[in-house]
Amino acid sequence: MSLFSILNQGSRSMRTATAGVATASNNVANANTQGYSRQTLGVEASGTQRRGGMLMGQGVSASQVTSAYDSFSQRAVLSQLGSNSYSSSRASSFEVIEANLAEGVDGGLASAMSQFFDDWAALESDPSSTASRQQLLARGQNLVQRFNSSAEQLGNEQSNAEARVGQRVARANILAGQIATLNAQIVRLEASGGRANDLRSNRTQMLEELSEIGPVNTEDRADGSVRVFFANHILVENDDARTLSVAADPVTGFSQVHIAQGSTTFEITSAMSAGSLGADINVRDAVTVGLLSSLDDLAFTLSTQVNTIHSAGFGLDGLTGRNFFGPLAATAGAAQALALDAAVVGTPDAIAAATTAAAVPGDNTNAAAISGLADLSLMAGATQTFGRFYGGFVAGLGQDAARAYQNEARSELELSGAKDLRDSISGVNLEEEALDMIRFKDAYSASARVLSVTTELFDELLRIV
Amino acid sequence: MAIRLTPSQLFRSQIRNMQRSGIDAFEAQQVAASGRKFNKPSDDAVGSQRSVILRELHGDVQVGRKKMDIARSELTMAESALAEMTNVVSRLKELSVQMASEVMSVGARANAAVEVTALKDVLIAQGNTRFGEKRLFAGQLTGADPFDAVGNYVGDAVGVTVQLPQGTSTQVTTRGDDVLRGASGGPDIIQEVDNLIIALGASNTAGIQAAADLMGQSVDHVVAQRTQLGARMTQLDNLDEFFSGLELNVGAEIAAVEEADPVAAFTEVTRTQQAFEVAMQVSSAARTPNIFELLF
Repeated sequence: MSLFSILNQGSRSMRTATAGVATASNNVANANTQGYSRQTLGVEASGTQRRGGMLMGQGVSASQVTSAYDSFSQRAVLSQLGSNSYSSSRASSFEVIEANLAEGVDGGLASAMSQFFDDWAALESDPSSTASRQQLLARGQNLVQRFNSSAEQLGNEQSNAEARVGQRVARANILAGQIATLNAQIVRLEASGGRANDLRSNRTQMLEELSEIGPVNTEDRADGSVRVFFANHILVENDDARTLSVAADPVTGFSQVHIAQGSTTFEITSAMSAGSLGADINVRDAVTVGLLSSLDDLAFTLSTQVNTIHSAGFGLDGLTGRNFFGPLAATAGAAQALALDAAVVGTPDAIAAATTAAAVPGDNTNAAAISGLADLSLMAGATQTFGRFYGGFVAGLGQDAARAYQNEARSELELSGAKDLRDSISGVNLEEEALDMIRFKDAYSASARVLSVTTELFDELLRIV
Repeated sequence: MAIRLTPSQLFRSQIRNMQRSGIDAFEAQQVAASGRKFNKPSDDAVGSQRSVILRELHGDVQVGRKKMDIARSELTMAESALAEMTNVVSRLKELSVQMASEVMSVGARANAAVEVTALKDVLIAQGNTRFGEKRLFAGQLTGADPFDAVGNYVGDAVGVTVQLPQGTSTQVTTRGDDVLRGASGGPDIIQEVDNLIIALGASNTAGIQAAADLMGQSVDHVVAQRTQLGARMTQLDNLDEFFSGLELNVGAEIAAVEEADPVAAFTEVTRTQQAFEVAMQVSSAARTPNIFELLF
């Protein structure tokens, strides 16, 4: 073996050590980068050569940088991201809804409804009192405003969820396009050997964001690309990203999500079981619809029952046939459309407290009948009073909201567990990297020392000459 | 616990612990500051439902008690009027008995007729007694006097009833024609007074004697009316006692459902704040010493 060979070995060894430090440095730099997998420098012996009848090693060289990416734990993270994003978005919506419908000490709809019927009872005590009639009109207006405002706030949350559906679909399309581009780059780079670790990390980051939008599954392919399924339909294949789109439902007018597959499009709205997009669709189509339906039912039944009795009664002016609330055409939208009838607005004498014209003003039987509606089971298939029905509405909302918050907390823990598992395999551990840096630094120092010794040998040789 | 611990794992754990402690502290502060166990339905769904139902019941009872107060005032006023009518009818009986005596002169009877006429006006005025604008002996036609100047009844034959909580009710007006015109079988007092005035004017001893006999029945009739009214007032007193207790009980139940125990609430605030501070201190200390600082 010649001294030059030793110099070459030392030089190669120093380059390998430098690459090792660089790899560790890269890991340290990306220790907190989302989607990054720890990289490791592959080191191998540089082969053997026959020198003077002996087989001599040729030192060391760096083979390739590999990533500690684990597809199984990563898939678990993607799945939990979708689940967590769904729970979290849904919980946020419930927070808004609860804040808007809170009863509180100052009173909400329940209080307004109770006061309304109490004022009919007060009018029963003194049916000729203008003050009682004016108070009843004011409380009726308050009840109307509570219904209107509750329905409007639920409608706003529904509209906001609808607006977010379009925004999230647009973002998913951008991410799908970026994943397809990264697929193409990775396939091209890896075709000639090696592993495009940083591009893969970038792609993982995109996949994680896409998973937060909707239900995503992935399939790793041999060429380095990844096939992405969105709601069980292929969204990205090689360098091709399919397009998600929204189209208004002819009945509800709300955006339905479609995915293009060749010349055909498939509606995938009902398959949105995960991600923030799924949560928005659930809030829009189920949560707010259910709550609005109950409010509408309550407003419609209450106003219809009051009107039926009121229109048969007589006001202080001896006239009959007037509604207290503006008549509602249908249950749907009743809470939002509820209003006092124009015949009674500003006209306290028009309030029909009497059953017969001849018995005005002392006849209080109509007021008593309307006041008594509060105690009749007129809701939920004639099994609940207005108060109990609304109490059930509040309890149902509370239970759904509490469940949503619990799901959010549970899914956060599950996501954290999945990330911990992934990071324990492919995350960057700073102690490991520090020790790796020392290892390569020592190797570098030792190799440098070899060069120094070899140079001394050269010097000795030259002195002989 | 995974063998390899990464900064991301540590960071997530610290964030999670701090957030959980922070939320606990915030919720404890909300309970302590508001004095309420729950501030939104999800804090206690069952409690929220109970609160809605109890508050509705509380409102019903309060309104019922107000209605009873008004009814009691009206009945008290009507009772005063009936007491005055009793006095008047008693005086009429006294006068008629006196004037039926053979020793009374025509002049004395003529003077008595003047007094009886005045007493009839008092009876009519009492029959038109008002509570505010409400005529208490007019049946449902409370907006106008039920008796005209000569004592004809122009009210109606329906007493006003007020519904009270828990399916109870009470009649708050009295039919004037029952009291003074014998509409339900009693003596027609106004007619008897008119007959007495005529008999006194004609110095008709037999007529005066007949009137004296009937006036005794009239006194009994008015007293009976007062007794019925008194029974209604007693019923109201009993109901009010019951509803007063119910109002207190429901109020206490609302407080038990809604109101937080201040001592427990402030203890919880202290506990959760301490936990939050510990979580922050642990987080700040967790990564020191750093291995890079030790090795390089």
